[in-house]
Amino acid sequence: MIKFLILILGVVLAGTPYNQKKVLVLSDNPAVYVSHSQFFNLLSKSYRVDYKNIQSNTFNLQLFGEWQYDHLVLFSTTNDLKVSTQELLDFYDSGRNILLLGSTDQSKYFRKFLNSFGLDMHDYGSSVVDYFNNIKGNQNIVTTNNVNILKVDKPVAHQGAGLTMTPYETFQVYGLVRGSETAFSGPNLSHNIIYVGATQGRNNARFVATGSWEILSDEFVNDSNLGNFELAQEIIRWGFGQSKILKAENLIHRRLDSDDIKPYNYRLREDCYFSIDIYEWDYQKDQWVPYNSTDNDVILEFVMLDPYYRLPLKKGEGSKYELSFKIPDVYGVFQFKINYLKPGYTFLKIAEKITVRPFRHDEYGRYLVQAFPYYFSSFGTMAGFVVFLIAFLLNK
Amino acid sequence: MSETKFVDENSLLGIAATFWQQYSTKTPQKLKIMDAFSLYCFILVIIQLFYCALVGDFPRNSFLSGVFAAAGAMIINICLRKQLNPETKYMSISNERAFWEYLAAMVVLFLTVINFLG
Repeated sequence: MIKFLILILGVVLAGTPYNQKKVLVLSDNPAVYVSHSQFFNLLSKSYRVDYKNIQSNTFNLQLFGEWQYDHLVLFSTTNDLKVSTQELLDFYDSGRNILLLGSTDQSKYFRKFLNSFGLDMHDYGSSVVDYFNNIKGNQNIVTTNNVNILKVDKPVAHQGAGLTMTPYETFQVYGLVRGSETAFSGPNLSHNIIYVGATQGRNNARFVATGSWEILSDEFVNDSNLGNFELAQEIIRWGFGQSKILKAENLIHRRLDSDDIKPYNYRLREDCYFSIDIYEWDYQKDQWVPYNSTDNDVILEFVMLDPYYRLPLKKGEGSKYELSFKIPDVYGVFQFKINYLKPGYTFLKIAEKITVRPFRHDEYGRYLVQAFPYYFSSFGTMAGFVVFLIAFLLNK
Repeated sequence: MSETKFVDENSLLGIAATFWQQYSTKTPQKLKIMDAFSLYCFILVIIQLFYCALVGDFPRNSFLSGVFAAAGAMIINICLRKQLNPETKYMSISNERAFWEYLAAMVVLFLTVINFLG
């Protein structure tokens, strides 16, 4: 009876807020709770939110070695934080996500913290200016349509400073909302200004940073002509690990004509079949659904120090991605490698080792057509020898 | 007056004609049979080398085996011929013993060839 009650309680509580993830919101200015009320409404729908003052001593990110919160929302301040940058970076390294809402007068602490993610804030007191794409002629409130990875239909408004990204190519740093063509800020030009930037670590933890608080404030979020409401939803979904999460399982490799999964070794020039299941997390249905890659871009590499093959996997039924190919004419230890780094999605890095052996001494071809003259000559010599013997011995 | 000869004896053709005439009259029948077998094996070697130059020696063990069979048979045959001819005899062993050695050598050669033929 008691067990039954506990079971019922567990089932009931599983869907309630007690099972949701915890988000810590740190800010310095209590006015933020009024000006960003819609954003906090959205947060509270799917998370348990703790509001704490940055300068207070009443919160602990870590207690006895266990992280107390799953995600973090930081409103930047002009002073330094009580928590050290290293502890925030450890929070990120453990796989937890951070959302940083910056402002143009944030302290050096936050500027340096941004730098560890490949983003950089513009100078003190600067703001993005756009004379063409703005709201009601006020050139400081700029709009843009340039949104990547997140799904936002309407223009997004921004007021405040911008960010820049690392100038070199890296697959981890994204500009989620970028400036329109006519925006500029001081010496920085339009295509380099980022309003909302993001970094996804190799452990698939996500860090989203904005250049100003206003982009998520009620003033813009409540405006139905602007896409800021959708942006707020999308930032919460993408930034806190609900959308564009991939999972790969059930890696199978076998000889093409047999059913033994993962045989001990393969031989040169054998046909090999490889398949893997890739799922994407669907937050609406709350389950893993098969992933649809748009243009055959999941690539399988067959590598021994250098890739011998680089082939796209074909989509089979359901979530299966499969390929059959012929192992090259080289023996050694190979790896099946998948390095799927699509922007916005979690990184899929898979490696599976196989061995390829050379021919056994009885697996070489026999009775080759090219060698017929040699076969004929050998047996011809023997036949000639027999004829010679007969002629020699019967001759008087 | 010596009888006129159709060919001048000191030219190349003359040497060949003299050789052929001496060879067909002076050598016994048995040695001629042996020479015929040796020539047959030599032709086989030439054919195989020609084929290898054309197509390349892909199954190299087969190529070696084929050439070695014919060339080896020829050489062993020549050794026996030397033994049987009283002018070129060496090692002073009897004809029968030479013939048994010849047979043994040929058997070993053919076993090796079949094994290596692949």
